[in-house]
Amino acid sequence: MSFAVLLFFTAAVGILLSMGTHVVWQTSRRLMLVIGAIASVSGYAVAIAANAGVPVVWAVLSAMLIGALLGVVLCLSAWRVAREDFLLLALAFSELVRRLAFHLECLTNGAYGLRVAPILPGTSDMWFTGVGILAAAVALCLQLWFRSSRGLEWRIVGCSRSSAELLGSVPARSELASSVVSGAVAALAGIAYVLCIRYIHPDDMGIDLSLAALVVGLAARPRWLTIDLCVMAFILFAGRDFLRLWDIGGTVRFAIHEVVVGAIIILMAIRLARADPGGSEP
Amino acid sequence: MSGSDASLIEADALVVRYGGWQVNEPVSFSLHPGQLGLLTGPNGSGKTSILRALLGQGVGYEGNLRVLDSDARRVKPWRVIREGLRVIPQFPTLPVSLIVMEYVKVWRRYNPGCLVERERETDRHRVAKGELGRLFGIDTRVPISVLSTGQRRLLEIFLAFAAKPRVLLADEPLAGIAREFIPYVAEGIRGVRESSGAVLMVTHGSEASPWRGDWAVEVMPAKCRA
Repeated sequence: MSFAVLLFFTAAVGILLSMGTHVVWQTSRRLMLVIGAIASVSGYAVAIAANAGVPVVWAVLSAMLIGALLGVVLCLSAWRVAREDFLLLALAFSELVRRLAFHLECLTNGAYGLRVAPILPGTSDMWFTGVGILAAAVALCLQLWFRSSRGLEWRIVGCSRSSAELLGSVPARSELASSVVSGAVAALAGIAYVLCIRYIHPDDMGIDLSLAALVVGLAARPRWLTIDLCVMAFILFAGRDFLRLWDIGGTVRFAIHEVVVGAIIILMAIRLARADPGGSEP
Repeated sequence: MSGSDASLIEADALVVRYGGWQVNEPVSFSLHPGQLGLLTGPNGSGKTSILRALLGQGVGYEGNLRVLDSDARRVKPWRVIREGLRVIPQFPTLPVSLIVMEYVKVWRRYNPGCLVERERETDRHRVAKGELGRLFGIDTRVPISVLSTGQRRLLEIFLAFAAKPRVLLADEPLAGIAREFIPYVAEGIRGVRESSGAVLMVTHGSEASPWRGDWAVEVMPAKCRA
């Protein structure tokens, strides 16, 4: 397996996660900081199912269903709390998932991480398949988002609820649907990650990953979504892995990695804070 | 009263309230098919709030208010819209992050068949694009945020008429648009009435000159607010 494929794969996972946050942000202006936790739950679900000998199709489908259901549950809970409080809820949920992954050793193998039995023969083929599936998922999401009237309707809800209501749209239904899509997309990212890496650890899809996805998802401009997502996901996600695997000594590498990733997130957050979130008046 | 003459909107001793705050003196009116009803009155007298109450947008009130055979307390905006009620709001509510054609595309989903019958054109996008450009000089490929406030109002007015509403709630429809478009609005309102629809218009009175209402009710601010 080539290093380039690994970077592409990481970027594709990052794009999917970012897209999941972007969809929810554009529809309901909620900060989906649980995207990593959903990916983690689905990743563990597919890993456990695969190790138990469940056929890969069923394992993938059930893991995606779990992701979509988590999206629904979180969306329903979001209706009861303010946007700021939803962030706290997201943080709490992420931490809960991480702790469960650490302590449910019988299922997750705790801090040692869970190795996944090979599902399909030929590891390198699996990588290319994984990248291909992720690229197809990204293309489908973009199609849904920009070409379908459903995706446009979600954007209307996020921009102006009263406008959506005056169209005859039900904003709550749009928010729920976008959360389902977001959850399923996050689940797909987690599943692809597990099936290709064949290993998952409680810290793999933690809050830092969610934060990076959130920053990319929010900073991406709807009109230039494809380009923005690709560029930023490569910088943040692939760059993160590149630094992690760069052989310049453990401590230095770790320090550079953390500083660079942290700085990029801060810079993007500053840019985001200055931008008009609703994309209203020019 | 026969079915066709049954009132589309009926208000009886209607008083709008925000919390414990009474907004207007009680008003009563009834809007029948083919009618143009005018709600007049000074600023802050609750005219727009009455329209919002009709839409089920969470405005509290006392008295009786029915819209399209439903108690206005129970209606949801999307439900009355789907039953044929349309609104020309006082201030444009269009989603500014979309381009015009994207908005029209979603609008078409909720108004199937509209914008097609006017011209024998299979590409409905082109119909809307052609009419909007010809009538108002609106380029449908630009973001809504680029349109002026007047153009956004015209776009909302155009789509409200194109939906062939059973009931049209028009909140000061001439405010903010150029004089040259007044005949278009007047013609649209006449079209709604001729197709057995009804129009309830909020106006300050002076701008209602292009047409004459079947009735006018003056909404007065409450003398005693509490």
